[in-house]
Amino acid sequence: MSAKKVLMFGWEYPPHHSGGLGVACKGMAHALIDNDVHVCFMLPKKVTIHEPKVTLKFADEKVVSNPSTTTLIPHLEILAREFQNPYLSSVEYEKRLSIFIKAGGKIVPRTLLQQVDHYATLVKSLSQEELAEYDVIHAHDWLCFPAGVAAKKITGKPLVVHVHATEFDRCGGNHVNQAVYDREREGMHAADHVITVSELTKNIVVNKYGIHPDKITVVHNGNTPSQPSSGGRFDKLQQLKKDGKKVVLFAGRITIQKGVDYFIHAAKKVLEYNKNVYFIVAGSGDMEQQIITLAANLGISSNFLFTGYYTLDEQASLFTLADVVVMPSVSEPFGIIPLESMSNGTPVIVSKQSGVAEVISHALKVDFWDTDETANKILAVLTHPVLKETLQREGLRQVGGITWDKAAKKMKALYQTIA
Amino acid sequence: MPSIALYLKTHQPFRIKHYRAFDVGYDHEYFNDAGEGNTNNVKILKKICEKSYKPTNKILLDLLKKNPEFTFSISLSGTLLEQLEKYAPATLETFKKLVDTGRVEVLGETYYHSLAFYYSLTEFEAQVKMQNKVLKRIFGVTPKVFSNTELAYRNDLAKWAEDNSYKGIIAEGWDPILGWRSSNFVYQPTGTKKIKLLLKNYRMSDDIAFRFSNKGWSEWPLTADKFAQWVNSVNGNGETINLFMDYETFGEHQWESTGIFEFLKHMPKEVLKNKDNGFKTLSETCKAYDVKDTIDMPHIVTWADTERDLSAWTGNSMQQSSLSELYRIEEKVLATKDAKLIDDWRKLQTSDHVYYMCTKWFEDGDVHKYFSPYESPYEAFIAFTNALTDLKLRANIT
Repeated sequence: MSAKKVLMFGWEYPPHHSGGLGVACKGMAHALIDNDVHVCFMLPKKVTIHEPKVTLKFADEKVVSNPSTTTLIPHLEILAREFQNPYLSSVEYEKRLSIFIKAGGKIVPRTLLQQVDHYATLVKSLSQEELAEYDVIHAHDWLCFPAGVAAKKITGKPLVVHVHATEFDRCGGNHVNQAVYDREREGMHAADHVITVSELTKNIVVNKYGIHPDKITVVHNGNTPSQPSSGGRFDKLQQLKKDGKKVVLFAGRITIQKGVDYFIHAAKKVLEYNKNVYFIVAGSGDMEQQIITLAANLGISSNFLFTGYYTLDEQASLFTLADVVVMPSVSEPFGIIPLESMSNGTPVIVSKQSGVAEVISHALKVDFWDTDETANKILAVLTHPVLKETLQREGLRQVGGITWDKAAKKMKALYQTIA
Repeated sequence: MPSIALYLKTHQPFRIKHYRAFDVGYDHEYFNDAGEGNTNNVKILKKICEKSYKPTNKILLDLLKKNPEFTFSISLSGTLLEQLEKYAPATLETFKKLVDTGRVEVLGETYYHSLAFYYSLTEFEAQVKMQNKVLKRIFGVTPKVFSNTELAYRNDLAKWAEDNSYKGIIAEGWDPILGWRSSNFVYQPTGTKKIKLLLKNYRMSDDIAFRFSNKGWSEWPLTADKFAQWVNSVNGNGETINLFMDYETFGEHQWESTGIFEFLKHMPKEVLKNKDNGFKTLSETCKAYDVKDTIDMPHIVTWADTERDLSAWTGNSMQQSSLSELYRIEEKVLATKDAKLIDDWRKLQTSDHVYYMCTKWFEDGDVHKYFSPYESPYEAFIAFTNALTDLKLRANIT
């Protein structure tokens, strides 16, 4: 068996990423290379990335990148990241795009859908020779499916589409965007094989997209241990702990998918039993105002801290601060936050409606809607040090075994069978 | 020779319901789950009666009637007897019928199936006394052989049993302890004079209890006549084959569809085809054979896992803190003289509760080894600790 060459179509790549997708792609690409798979990673447009290990290509620039400085000033870069977030609903996307343009942003004139289709158009303009050297095409999420399908049409090479999330997850089951769904469905049907990040997502792909289960392989994400770093603005919060307060953290986008409203209701219940608890909601999203209002209406705002957008560096210090991290997602294809939290030594409570619940056993699990049970478990971790210690110790050990290497080996085997 | 000493350990705990932090201070009933879940004790008891106790007792009674040489030993924890009396009296009757034949020996143990010996001698003795009382009341017998919870054995337990007039005590026949010696003889515990030690032949016991339905096992399927051949082959290098196992092996751990009942029906007859073979109760075994050597077990040995230690009950800090907290409050709980409160405290001592908190097998792909009514060891700990917190409030313990 000769080593396979894979052309991957991605949407974002660290440090230019807004969510888990970019982080996952990087972890996967590195692990594949470590397993002797040749990976070329294609992005829709040119950005500055220091990446010595992975060959990067940019669809809007036919040659391999030679890093130059970006044209965006940092402030705009953050705004750009906000609306380029692949997890946004289309309404929220338009809202953020207009904020970006008002602030002086110029470079992105298109809607998200137009960008997605433009990506495919750019790929079509690539020459057959440029694409011919690869054995497999591997496209990540609907954003890249049209580009992947275009590459398959040009080369006739097998296409793997990788489902990190579906439209049903993003919209919490309601108001599915037809245009997005269509691109997802077309990609999955055009593909020779579909990878999903969990059994949960596999079920959605089977039931909502009509894909035969035999065409689907579940490859759970791995975890890339983050480097400890100083937390900047959150370091001050350490005072809370010195004052003997307990801290419960939600970290992630504040959207219907993430179930933040359930977090607020559980908090209300916890505070009825223990006033000495602070709840941090870290992240931003289209439900932010609604969530802040909900906490106010329940009369628990004084025990809440809404941090807004946070950086990866800040994330680690938030984990360190927290006694427990809660991920009450309504529908979570995978969910990397719990793994990051566990590798930071912070116990997690995860919803059973999450893919990550399939790979971690040393975590507390709840139905997202059962806010009483979430509160019960929050109280248990805060009250009983031995519970926290055991979850910490066992969780840290377990998360060490959830690696991208395992995922890469599974993907490599899959490439061998289809190419 | 040899004789078979079959001993069936019968036990059910009072499982703690899904007891939440919000229940503390309001709800003092920890064991009364009436729902569809796995902590509904009545539901589980009735299921086990149907699947295991009733059909097995029927077979055993039949075997006793048909084979005058057949005899065996049994133990029933107080927590089980209490549930049988209340929720399944007809099944309890079938146990009584067995004992009434005079050929089924009942062993002594702790009423609450606890590990109290290793935490509080006074509490342990109180529970043994309770167990003896209930055995006398229901079966009219006084035990002569002692069987500790999970066969958790140590030299000083044997000494205690001897001082309390037991003729025999049982333990695991664990190779690192036995060395070149065989479990198929009777031994003397270190530090004792008269009491005899019977050691479980774990290979032949586990062939039935664990491997019986394992199609990947080279000896599968295990038939009664094959087993009888193995018994015959012990002839000459052993006097007793001590088959100790959970009663629930029959019909619960090994389902009827595995053929376990057919095996039980035919095994005695097949074994007895060889006139040199026989069956004995544990007391009879102690009486029949002289001790061959002294066995020294200064550290606790159990019949569990490859380690044969207590790590499944005391291996992690949740388990350790639960146990130490339970026994820390002993004096204050007893001082309340509140019978219901003391009984609840003792029911929390049942070793199953800390077993459910065991994390050592709780890995993905390995969960099938995790026998528990809870979704995870953490759920088990939370329910237990919340209940214990409530109990402490009731007893005004801080």
